[in-house]
Amino acid sequence: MNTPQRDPKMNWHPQRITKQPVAKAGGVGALSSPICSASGPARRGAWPWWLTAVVTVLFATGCTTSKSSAVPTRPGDGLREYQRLVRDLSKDVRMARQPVEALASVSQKNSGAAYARFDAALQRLEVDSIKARARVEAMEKRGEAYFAEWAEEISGTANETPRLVAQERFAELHGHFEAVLKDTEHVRQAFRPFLEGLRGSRTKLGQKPTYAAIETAKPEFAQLASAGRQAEESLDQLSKTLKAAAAALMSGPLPSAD
Amino acid sequence: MKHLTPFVWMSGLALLWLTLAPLRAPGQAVSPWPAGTRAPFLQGPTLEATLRNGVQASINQARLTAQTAKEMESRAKGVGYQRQNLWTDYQNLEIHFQNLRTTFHAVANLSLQLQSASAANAAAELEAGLNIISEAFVPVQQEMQAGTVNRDTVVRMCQVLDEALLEWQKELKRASSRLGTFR
Repeated sequence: MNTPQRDPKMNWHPQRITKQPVAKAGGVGALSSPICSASGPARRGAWPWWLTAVVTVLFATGCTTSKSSAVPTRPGDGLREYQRLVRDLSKDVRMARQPVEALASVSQKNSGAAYARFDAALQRLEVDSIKARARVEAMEKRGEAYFAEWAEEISGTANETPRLVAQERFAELHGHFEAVLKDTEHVRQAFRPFLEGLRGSRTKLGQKPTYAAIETAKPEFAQLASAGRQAEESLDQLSKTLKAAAAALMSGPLPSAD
Repeated sequence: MKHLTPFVWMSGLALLWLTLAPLRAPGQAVSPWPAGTRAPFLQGPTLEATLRNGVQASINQARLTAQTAKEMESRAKGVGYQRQNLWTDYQNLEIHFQNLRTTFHAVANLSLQLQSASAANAAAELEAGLNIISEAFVPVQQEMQAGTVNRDTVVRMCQVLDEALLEWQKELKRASSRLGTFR
């Protein structure tokens, strides 16, 4: 910011200030203010340095507003995001289950490649599933707080609905929410043993196991494949429940949150 | 008397400034860290500004930890990598990860002050994410306790941590508005 220095020759007595045309700002803190936009320096000799400093400070106070526009959330945003996470997790589980199934009946010739696919799929699952698992854990821990988030999203677009209708709508939505929580718990119960089993097998067999070691582990792989299918089923069920909840949320009037 | 007029003016304007200055204070967060402890990030003029600082500090710390894991991975793949190198690297990585948890925990606590379910849920999800990522340390810890550390296990831990932390920081960036940095 170019604050003009005091010119010793300049008469800065306030009583002798001659009015200069100053660029009009749309108010303190307006973006068009000369201070905010750092336009050219004031003309020397007519505008006393101390007054410039004061105006600078006053405008700067207005410029440093802490509020910015709120990021809008639409009703059902949280649900849609959860649906997407569940869909992705379902895909990751399927991608991990398929090589395990292959290992359960692999021949010696293909065992090396099959094991490498299993290894890569497990690493993918470990990383890609974090977001969905974190959501599941947080939902289990915080429960009703997620319904409060639905309500927050809804309340932003609330329209005038009669009190009784609003109560009925909330009861209906809460029913869907409880179904989502229940299915989320089932997913956690089905997913955890699958992932732990995969990790256990990987730790036991190491990076490049012999065919004999894979042969011995075949029954274990068959069990793991079955656990993977169960996890997929639980995810499919959760997906359906979420779809129904989203449909319920978007149909009919949106009640206010209070 | 006339020569005093500028000083009267200046005093008046100084008083005006002093009156206006505190107007920026409302919305400021109550200091989230206990007295006497080092703040994990700078406190801003408003709660949202402090949250933004916290989110940025967490993103930086996540990147640093991921980078540390990546460097440890390339060292662990080397032939001359010894047990004492592993111990030093492992401790260093653990410290970085712990710093990340501490920093983000402060962000999560701050976001509670917004009294928004959305912000609290977002913080809970990101904290749960860090808990899940910390599981990557377990196989190496177990092997260390058993006294048989496998190079492959160490490399794998580093790979998972590197990828997972980069994913986590992307998620944090994406969730920052839900956390309340823009309200």
